[in-house]
Amino acid sequence: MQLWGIYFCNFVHFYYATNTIGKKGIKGFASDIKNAINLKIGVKGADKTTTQRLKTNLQLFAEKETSSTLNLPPYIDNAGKFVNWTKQFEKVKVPLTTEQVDELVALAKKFGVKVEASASDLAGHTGKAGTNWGIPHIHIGEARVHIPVPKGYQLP
Amino acid sequence: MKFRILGDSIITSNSAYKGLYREEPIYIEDDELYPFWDWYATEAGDGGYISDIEKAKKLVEMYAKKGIYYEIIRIEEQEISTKNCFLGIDICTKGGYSLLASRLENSNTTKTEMDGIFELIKVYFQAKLNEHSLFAKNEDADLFLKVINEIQQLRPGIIEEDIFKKYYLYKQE
Repeated sequence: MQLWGIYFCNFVHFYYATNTIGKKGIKGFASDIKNAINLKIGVKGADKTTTQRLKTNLQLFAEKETSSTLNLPPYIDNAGKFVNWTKQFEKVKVPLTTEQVDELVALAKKFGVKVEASASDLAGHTGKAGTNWGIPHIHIGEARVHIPVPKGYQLP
Repeated sequence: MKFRILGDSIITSNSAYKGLYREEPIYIEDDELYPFWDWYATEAGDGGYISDIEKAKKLVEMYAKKGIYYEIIRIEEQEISTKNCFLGIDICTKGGYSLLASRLENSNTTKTEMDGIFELIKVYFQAKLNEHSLFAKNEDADLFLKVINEIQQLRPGIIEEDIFKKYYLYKQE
């Protein structure tokens, strides 16, 4: 059950980071959250932290204008935290928008984290037997985190 | 010594996988957890490795109290003699992206002229993986790595162009 709690945390984190709220509206976002909570996912501890996190994210959203850009959480203040935060995008595997990727690249530069992408990264690898990351992506940091990007994306 | 703090497999379809391509401690809005995540994310930095085992143990303990479970994995590039539990050999980039995380299952439906070779790799090497979806034997890991390196040279870009290496993984008690 706690696994679902973690997934839910990641979902909320991703939801917030990509500002999907802007597309669905605050009511849609709140409704999604309510539905998720209604599923009674997560153990007591996970529910508690999820609720705390949700509250914070909603508060942060209320303080910002809706936009298509990423909203870097205020607790991200060094390279390690930044790379840790970007791993949510690798897991969810949903391409960011061009504007969001450009912003992520600019943030990486700000934190001194390298960004790389070969032609085959940007096209997606076609290997099989578990060896592929088959959707277009760039790499962030020494960890070479995969960031899914739109088809045709080029690094600025 | 190098360690990583790891949780569930990132590839959810293969929850048995105990290699390096797994969840790391994530940020949770919680006053008790924050100092531990703050230490971890800063210490792990860009690469993901930590060395302070006592702090790592404390982090694992604190997250477990909240129902989120991680374990500490010791990573070696050579086989070592240790009392810690040997999990197996992963084939990864230095950042932890593993070729074994999906247990060599296909997720890519794009047809290529290399499909037969990849099918052969899957059938042959899947049988060599242990219960943690890792190689148990050095010779199997060596042969897999050799095949991967040759494919990288034969068809650059068909798989990640990173340098893949063997990592011996031990569960730190």
